[in-house]
Amino acid sequence: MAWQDWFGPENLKALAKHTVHCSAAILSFVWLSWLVRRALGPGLLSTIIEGTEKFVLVVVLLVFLVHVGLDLFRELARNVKSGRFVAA
Amino acid sequence: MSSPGDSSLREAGKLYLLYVAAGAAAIPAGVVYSLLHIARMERWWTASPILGVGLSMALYAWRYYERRFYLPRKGPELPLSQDVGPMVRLTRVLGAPGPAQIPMVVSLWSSSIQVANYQVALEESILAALSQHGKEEASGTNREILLFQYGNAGQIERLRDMLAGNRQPRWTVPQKAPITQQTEGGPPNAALCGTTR
Repeated sequence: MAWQDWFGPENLKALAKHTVHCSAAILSFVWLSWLVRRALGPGLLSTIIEGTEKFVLVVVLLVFLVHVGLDLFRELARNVKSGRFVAA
Repeated sequence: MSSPGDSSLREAGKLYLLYVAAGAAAIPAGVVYSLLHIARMERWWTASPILGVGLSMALYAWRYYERRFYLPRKGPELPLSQDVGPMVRLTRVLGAPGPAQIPMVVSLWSSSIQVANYQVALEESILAALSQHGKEEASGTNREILLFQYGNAGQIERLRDMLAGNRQPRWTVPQKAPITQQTEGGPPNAALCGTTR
């Protein structure tokens, strides 16, 4: 099994799309958290928001990995079903 | 009209919103995690269940909004009864006029009365297609127009029948019961009643 069996052209396109939109969502969360912390000033609430932001970023990254992994397995299943393996 | 560029932009926006929704669903677990961090209780056996809860909530939110964005929605149901609205009925009437829509058949007798009747019948059929209320108004309007232009509508019908040969003139119809002369006093036809006794 070669790497082309996992990464087809459709899969690469989906991977790029997921990367772009996950990055955009992470940036949105970081910007929103920074905006709220700046408005509140230093304090307990700002610390809570900072910790929440880190947790959310980790979760969004995990969601990204889950969906990219699902896309990879989908491509692999498609290749198995069609019977075309590069390194059979 | 949507172009392929619009469609791809819409799809891109949906994917972005899915990620944002997943992150937002993890916020309560993130608050709990940050409270534990502030209380200096951050251990792997406390952080990992919270992370699992946050991830499962994010995936659940992803699935929920994915179904909401990508599954086809139920369209508006068309009414199954005959009452389908005035414009549809008007289209049906104008598209395929039948004898029920235009009650008056144009005969060889072309006169101003017939032209007026035909116009009124056409107007009545259109108004009847618009609504039942319109139909009632149309019949009332027909009668008013005919009465205003030609007097009694019944007389016009009778005159037309007479010209077509379907009805005899009134003066040629024989009287069935003889009208007797009214005598002084007593009810009408008193003489006739007296002879039968």
